Amino acid sequence: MTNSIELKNVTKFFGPNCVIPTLDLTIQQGEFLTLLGPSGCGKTTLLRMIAGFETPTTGRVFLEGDDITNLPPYNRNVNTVFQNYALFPHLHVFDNVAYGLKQKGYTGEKLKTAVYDALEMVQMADFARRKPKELSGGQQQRIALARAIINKPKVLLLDEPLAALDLKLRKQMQFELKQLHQQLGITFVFVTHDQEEALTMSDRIAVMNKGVIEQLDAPQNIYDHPKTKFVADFVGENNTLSGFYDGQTVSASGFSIPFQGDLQPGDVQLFIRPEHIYVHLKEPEHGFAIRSNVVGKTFLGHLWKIHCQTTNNEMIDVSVKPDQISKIDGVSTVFLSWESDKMNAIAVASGRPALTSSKSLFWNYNLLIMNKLQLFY
Amino acid sequence: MKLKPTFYFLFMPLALWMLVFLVLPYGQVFVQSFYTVDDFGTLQPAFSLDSYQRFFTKELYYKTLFKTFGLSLIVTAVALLLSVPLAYYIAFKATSNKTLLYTLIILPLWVSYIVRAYAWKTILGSAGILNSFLMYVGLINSPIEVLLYSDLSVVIGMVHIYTPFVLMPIYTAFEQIPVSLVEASKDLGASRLRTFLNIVLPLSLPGIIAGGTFAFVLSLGDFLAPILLGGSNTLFIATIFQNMFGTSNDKPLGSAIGIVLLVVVLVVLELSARGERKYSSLTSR
Amino acid sequence: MSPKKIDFLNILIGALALGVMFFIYFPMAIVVLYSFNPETVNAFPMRGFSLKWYETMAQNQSLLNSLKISGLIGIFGTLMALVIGTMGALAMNKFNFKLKRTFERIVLLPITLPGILTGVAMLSFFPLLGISISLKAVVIGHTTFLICLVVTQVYARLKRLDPYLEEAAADLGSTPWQTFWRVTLPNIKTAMIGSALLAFTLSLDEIPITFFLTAQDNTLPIEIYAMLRRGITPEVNAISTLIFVLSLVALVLSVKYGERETKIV
Repeated sequence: MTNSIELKNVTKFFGPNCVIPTLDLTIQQGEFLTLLGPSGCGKTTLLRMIAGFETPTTGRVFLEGDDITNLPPYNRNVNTVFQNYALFPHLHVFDNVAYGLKQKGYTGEKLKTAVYDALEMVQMADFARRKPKELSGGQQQRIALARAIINKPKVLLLDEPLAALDLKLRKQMQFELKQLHQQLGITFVFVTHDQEEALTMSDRIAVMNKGVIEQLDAPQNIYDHPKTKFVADFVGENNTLSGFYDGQTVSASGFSIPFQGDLQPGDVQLFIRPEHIYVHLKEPEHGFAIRSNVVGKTFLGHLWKIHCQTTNNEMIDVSVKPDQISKIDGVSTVFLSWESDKMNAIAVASGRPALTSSKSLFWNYNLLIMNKLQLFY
Repeated sequence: MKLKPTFYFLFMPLALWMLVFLVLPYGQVFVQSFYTVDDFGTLQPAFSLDSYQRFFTKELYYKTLFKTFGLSLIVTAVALLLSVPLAYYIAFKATSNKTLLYTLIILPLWVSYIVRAYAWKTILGSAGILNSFLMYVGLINSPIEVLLYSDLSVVIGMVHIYTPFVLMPIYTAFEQIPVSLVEASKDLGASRLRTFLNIVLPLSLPGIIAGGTFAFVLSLGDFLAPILLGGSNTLFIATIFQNMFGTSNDKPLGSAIGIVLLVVVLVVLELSARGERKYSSLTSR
Repeated sequence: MSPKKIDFLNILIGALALGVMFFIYFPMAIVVLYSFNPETVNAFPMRGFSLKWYETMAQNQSLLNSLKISGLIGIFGTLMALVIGTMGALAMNKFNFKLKRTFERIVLLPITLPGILTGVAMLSFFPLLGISISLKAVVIGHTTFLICLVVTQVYARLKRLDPYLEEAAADLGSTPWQTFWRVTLPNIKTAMIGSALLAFTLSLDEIPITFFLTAQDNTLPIEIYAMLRRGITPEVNAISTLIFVLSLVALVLSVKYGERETKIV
């Protein structure tokens, strides 16, 4: 597979504020990559640098091997679906969709065919003569898509395109987007803060925090094997326990469990998801179990969530199926256990390998100085 | 409605004031335009279209109306041409000192009209600053006389006086355009010039229309700039109108001119309001 | 920090913007500069610096008198417009009545129509009401066009106000009278101050209406106009500079308090 987008040593400062410390990212041809993170994590800035609305403070951006760092947006073969669609309010749907091709000099029948083909693709051919404000949110979304894909971009950038839609419509659009991706075979770069959306749609997810990619991996791996505390907390729900790893076993508040992992011995944090925890009413005869008090429960529709407190005063949430919940009625003490491979452990005091963080600190300092100097030139 | 007394208490002063001091005076002008005057200049109540007939048959009057129209159009066009780049710069290019620049463009609106007209008098006069400067640097030997007291000086003065009125709505219109629309246009391959022509200009049309209307209507009704800056040939319709109530003392004809001017202005305002509504794709969302 | 090409389009726009700014400010700069001119003729180059014309101005009795008259008219006109206009805006905001839209348009007439029309209309009608052409007539004329400033600004602020505020106040036990003083008024206060400042400044600058309604007492702009008709006196530079500085102060104040979106002029 060839590289579609490549970001090399990219940094971004807004004035003195560092939004993105040194970052590298390679996006493969035809892949559906999602930038996932909380608001302000730099994911939109990253997308805007690919689109050409922002220029990186340092570093280069490549599109299929060509350096496009300083290319203005109108000279990049990349198109964006904007968060609020940014449909031109004074133009009809047809002219909105035709806009990009008109810039390339398309006219007449050729233009018309292309526009209707694009509209057909998003099932909006009947709406060509409407103005954007006469369309519902979901319809506007489809037009925004059609307006972008008609240009046959090498990369389609989507900036939280589904955020404004209600839940049902969002689910449907997720499905349609995924289909469109397969149909077109082009690279999609999708920005969202919705982890479920990211997990459903992506080939790979880059989880971002404070301008840094914390983990870049397939959805399944992100979910099952978070590499940092941030990822563990941000994607899905996780219980966090502190423990100690001696090279073979991890021990914490009254239990120890064999653990195989790429980990140096020392203090660790353990992550275990609520749905991976078994609840026993009596202490099991084999294996370990943590004695806990049931302090409350919450109904979530498809699940119950039991809130437990260990003897070490750590909180653990456990998911329980509704048909099982009656067994726990009136029970105050339970025993919790899980399988070793469902648990993840991270050495304390380093969200990332120590080397990278010190290197980037040095880098940031240098960049800050360079950035300041730039003002004088 | 139970609260009617409150309503009358609050509303009546305003309604009565407007009726007595605004609507009735205008009505009086309307009625008066059908009166006649006898040989001694005394008003004779009548219903006669004589004044209107005189206005539309005497060359001086209707030609002055056309000329006023033409010069006002020039003022409007120049003011628009000056306003667009400055408004564009402040709205899209300036970053750090936007508030200062904004204040700078509305400040002239607060500077006395008479002061601004006077400034041009000192600059353009035959012994004025421009002439003496040109003579000082040796570009000319004797003052250029046509600078002041000509159509040109009136147009320059009016452009200067009314440009800030045009700037304001255009700037506001530019400001209201979401950045994402400009970005979307560039994203779709449109260069900056094309983005301006295809997106920015159409979306700011209501502001441009509003600004143009300001300049046009204000120029149409201006009688001071022609007096102060214009020569004996630079007659504006408002100057004639004013004369009819002064030296010429022909109130029916004056009233008729007033009504014609009023109708023209109202038509322009109505057309402009329709235009604004038609092109206001941003606000009517 | 990759080298960027010289951006001619940007430079062009910047240059044009600068040029227009220059065009707008050059005449005013000239006036301010030449107010310190020691000579009688405003010519280039200026020879020396003096406060002579400020002294002349300070001794010009009719100019000082006109300043006083302008101030009084401005204060009376603004206060009357503020009371009548605010009441009217409250009524228009709270109640719906027939011809409301027509009325909104009529209120706007004095600023949409050329001032000369309004001035002449008043000139021919006021005597029929027994109001002679005098300062009284000028105050009434000013109030009429200032009302529309106050109404539009206060009305715009009221429209933006959360309609549930008053209901909330009533729900919490306020009488309509208390609601007005404790909830509505504090919320429209800044719009009232802003429009009053704007009104006062515009009243000071008003010419067309005053021109027709005044007898022998001149307001400041009319006095300057009269001076100009007599010929250029550098004294006008001095008084203009003073007006310029005062305008600046008024502007800063009104930007601070004003209704930004609806700022009329």
